[in-house]
Amino acid sequence: MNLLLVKRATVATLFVLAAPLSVAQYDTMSAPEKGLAIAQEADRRDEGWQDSSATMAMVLRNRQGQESSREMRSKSLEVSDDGDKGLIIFDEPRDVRGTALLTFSHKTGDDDQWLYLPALKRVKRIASSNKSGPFMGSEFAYEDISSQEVEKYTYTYLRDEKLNGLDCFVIERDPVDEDSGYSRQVVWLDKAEYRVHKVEYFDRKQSHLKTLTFHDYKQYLDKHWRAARLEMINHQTLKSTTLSFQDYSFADGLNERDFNQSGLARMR
Amino acid sequence: MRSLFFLVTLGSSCALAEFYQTLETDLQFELRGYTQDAAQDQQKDFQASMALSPEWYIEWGGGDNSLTATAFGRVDSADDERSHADFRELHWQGVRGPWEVRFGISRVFWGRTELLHLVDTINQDDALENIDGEDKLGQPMLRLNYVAENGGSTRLFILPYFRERQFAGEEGRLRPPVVVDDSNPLYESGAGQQHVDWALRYQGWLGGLDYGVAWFSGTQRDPKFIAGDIVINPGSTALAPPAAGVIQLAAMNSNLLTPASGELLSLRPFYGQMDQFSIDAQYTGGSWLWKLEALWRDEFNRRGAATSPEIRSRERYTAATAGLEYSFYGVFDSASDIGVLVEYLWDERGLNRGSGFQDDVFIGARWAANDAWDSALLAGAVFDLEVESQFYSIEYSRRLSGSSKLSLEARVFHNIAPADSNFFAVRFDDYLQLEYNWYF
Repeated sequence: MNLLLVKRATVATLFVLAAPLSVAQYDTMSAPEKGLAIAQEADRRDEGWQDSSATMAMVLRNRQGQESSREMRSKSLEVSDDGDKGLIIFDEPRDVRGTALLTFSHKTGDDDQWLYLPALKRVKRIASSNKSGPFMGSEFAYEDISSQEVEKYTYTYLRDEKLNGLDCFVIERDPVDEDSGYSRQVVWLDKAEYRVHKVEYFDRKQSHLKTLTFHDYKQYLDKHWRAARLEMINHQTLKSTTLSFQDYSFADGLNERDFNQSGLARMR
Repeated sequence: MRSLFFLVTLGSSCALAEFYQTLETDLQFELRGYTQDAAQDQQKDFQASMALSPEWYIEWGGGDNSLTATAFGRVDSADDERSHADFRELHWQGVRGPWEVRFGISRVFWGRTELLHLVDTINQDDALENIDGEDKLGQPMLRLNYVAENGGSTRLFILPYFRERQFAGEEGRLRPPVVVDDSNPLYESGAGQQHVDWALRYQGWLGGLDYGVAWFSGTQRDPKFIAGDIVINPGSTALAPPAAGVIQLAAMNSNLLTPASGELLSLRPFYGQMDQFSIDAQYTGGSWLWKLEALWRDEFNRRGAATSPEIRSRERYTAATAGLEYSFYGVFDSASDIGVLVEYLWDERGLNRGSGFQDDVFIGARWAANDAWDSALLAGAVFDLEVESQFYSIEYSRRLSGSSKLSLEARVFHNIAPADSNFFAVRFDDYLQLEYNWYF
């Protein structure tokens, strides 16, 4: 669960086209080709972040407006030939403080996930097939916050559209994994920087389930765009979750050794 | 050992640069009511207790060095013995590239299965806390851990001091009818509590498989029992050792009188030595988890055998537990998950020589609401296939706020056969427990 949504507001690493696509090159493509090319370009533009760390705060709201909060820290490691590696350390609520989750995401197939339970000092491998389950009781599903590898979807370009005054591509992406809770997602990316601004999630019955919007983008290392705030609204339950990121830091020299089971048990 | 501990920490704190520290405390209130009349008159039907566990952690050098101190203390209304305190953690840890060194008191966990933690050997059970084997006493240790590039980890443990198991007192439940006097145990080793135990463990993973292999050589964590205080009957001329079967009976039956020797007032723990090889593994595939723990143990109990005819001077045996867990996600059109667990438990020593899990099946279900309160329920039953004893357990918990949590626990012993001696002793000790945790 690399928090990639955030980490790279769209899509992930891949062997990439050597040169950036010019918008003109899209003209000759079919809608699926163009959708894929846009996803690959967004991915290519975010390559080279090496590793990143951030603190995360979640506010969960039920339909009566009652709130509860979550605090976490995340660390991620860019892996060029496979999905990225991620660590999340839970700080709040206090009963799960010290719990940590290690994820090796993969471009295809299930991710590998280990959970550290501090009360027992136990590292437990957990089944990662539960992609559609809620993360920490929030409106974010595990698959929403996991590494958004290009290969996890098939794509179709839908249209160009203005969103909040920005020229955007609108593409549809369909999860390859049968365990996904979604039939499809509709994604708005701005043409200038290929940042994701909005995602609409459709459930297996093709009903509009959730909408995610990205706010307060900031650029790091003159290259990597990260949103400081994400708003997820569930249209069926009317519950919502705000996910905020702070203290972003990149290329701190984290390495593979920080992302194994021994390192997981050390996380504080 | 303490002075050495300080030397090491002082030495490394010279390079101290930037500190990160936390202080967290867990305050727990617990109410436990036993639903059946006690087997012994002195045993109480109700106990209220309070436990406090502060933890201080400090790291410097970006986590290359750290100190952890976790204290634990409980005060219990019914049982003086259950009022107890311990350092769960009190150690320095250093990380240098692939090497990790830990020195001081700590807790480690080995294993995969849910019901019985068969191969989890390093730490002594804190048997006063719960019968589930998940509360442990802090173990003094030097631990070296080498982590290879592929994540595989080789761990060497040097354990210079043995932690004795503590037992419920006269007024406490969940104990044998004759109390265990844990103040004066008998050791196989002449070094007693200072015997230096050691262990070596490798753990790694390959695709969906996580596995561990371990060797342990040292003092057995599970005591056997020999006769403690005996009141000599008038007319008896000498203190003869109790006849065969007496200790066994004493564990089940109070007011035991043997005309030849007298009345047994207490049991005395005997800690033998052992060599043990163990494996543990879990295969994770889709929604399935397959779990296995097995051990081969060679016990040395010469001094115990000289005292009690029920103890074998040398005993070699195998024990294992294996099972699976399957999860259904998003059941009943909700966010809830239900996991189903089945585990089989086997011990070559048979019904009443070992853990009591010699031919038993555990069937359980885990429900997680995945709601904002993290509500969860774990219900399970253990059936002894040989003598049809049954054990039932239900645990429920939910968060009350960002800093508090409520837990309920019920345990029931049913139809316990006299031959199932470990459980026969506690057959009247069904209980309901309410627990409130406040974190600050």
